[in-house]
Amino acid sequence: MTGPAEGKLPLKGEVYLCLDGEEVKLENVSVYIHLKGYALARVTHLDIEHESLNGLIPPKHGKFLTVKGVKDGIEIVLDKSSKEVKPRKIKIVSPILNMVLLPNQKTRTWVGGKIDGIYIGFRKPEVRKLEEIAEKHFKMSPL
Amino acid sequence: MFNSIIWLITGRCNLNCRYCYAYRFKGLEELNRDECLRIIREAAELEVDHISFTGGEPFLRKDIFDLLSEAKNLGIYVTVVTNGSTINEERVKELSRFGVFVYLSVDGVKETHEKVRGAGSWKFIEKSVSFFKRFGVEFATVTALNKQNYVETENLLRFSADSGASYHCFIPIMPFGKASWLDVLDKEEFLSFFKILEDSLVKVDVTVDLWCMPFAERFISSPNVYVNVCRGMSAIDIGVDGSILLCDVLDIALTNIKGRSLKDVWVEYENHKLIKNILNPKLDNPCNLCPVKSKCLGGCYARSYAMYGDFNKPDPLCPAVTNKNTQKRLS
Repeated sequence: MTGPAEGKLPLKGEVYLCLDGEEVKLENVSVYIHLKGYALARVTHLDIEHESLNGLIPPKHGKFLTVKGVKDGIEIVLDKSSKEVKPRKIKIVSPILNMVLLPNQKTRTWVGGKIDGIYIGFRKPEVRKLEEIAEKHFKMSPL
Repeated sequence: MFNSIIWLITGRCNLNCRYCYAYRFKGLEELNRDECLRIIREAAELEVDHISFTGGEPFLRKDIFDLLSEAKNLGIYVTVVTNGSTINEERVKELSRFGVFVYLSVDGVKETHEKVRGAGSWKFIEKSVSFFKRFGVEFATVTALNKQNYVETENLLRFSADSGASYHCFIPIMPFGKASWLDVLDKEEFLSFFKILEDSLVKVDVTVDLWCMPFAERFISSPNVYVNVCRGMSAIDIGVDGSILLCDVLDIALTNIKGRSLKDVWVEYENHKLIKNILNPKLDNPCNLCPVKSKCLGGCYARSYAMYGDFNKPDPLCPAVTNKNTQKRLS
């Protein structure tokens, strides 16, 4: 689902689309830790919601992509093969996400599409770190 | 343009596994160190963000750490597949230093693993896991599914979780190399495997990747399973001798990178009629009627080709495919 809901924990931050050396800041973007058990989430994941992310990955589809830690956030390296995909990277600036991936730390993980956005389906070690953030900063746990 | 390279960096191996598809690469002349370094540098220039070194056993190459370090220094995410037998403290320290992610082949728990990989091979797994934990090397466990080990799925997942693996991968053995159609899981066994997997994931907290079985999309609903689909994955397979392979299980070389730039090779690859065919499959029934056809895209084209001589036919291992001739051959 898209938009705020119980169990969707908003992270302060900014999101940029990186196109061949140029970074475009998305206005009114939402980044949530979406906890398992809330609003139909079956596993804790990270939502990035903005209408301009439509079409990058179709809803209910996904693929393994490299997600890496950068200074004050994380970056998704997009697949170059899709003709619809113009940006090379999506950068999520939110320092708290360095609790999940340290700068220069990388993983190949699932990035899925949803209506008006995308989500990152991490592996269990990173999922546990997302849930630690939820516990520590929002006093909430997955159901 | 592609993002990822799957690179059979050597055909040599120190084990003699029962279902190995890659043993047919033994004896091929390998690309030399300078050629490999050149390809890695060109890959970085082309913004390739992942190289997976596989084989054979990659650590049998004396220059493997030169290649790993070059790729890492150029900002590429590097993974390496190993049988664990060549893992020692010195190598693990290097893997840790370079931040290389390791795929460790585990084909069962103890006895079952040794039935496939040879007597005494389990101790390599235990030793590798212990070193990975000690030196903080991130790793995943990988099981080549066969008729003996799929029933051990829960134990495999427990081993993976207890070992500290980031996730566990399953890939069906392929009817190429040493394995035949009679060795691969049949339709009922696949359905049993999916059921066992879903039941196990209720009990064991681990993430699972399924490789080379895109049809799992139709049968698996656990949110802890990611199903990999290789059509359109934007990856290329580099063979031991520099061949650019359609798939590493098929002996179909589209071109060769020896003495040629990676960019030129990619252009040739992308425009090859077989690649165009595979990326835009003309699916047959029952795939056309399948609810997951847009994700699965007909399944594994290599198996379709091996069974029917046609890349567009349905994956013969898909439980939803009930062609009588296929089932007869599988049983």
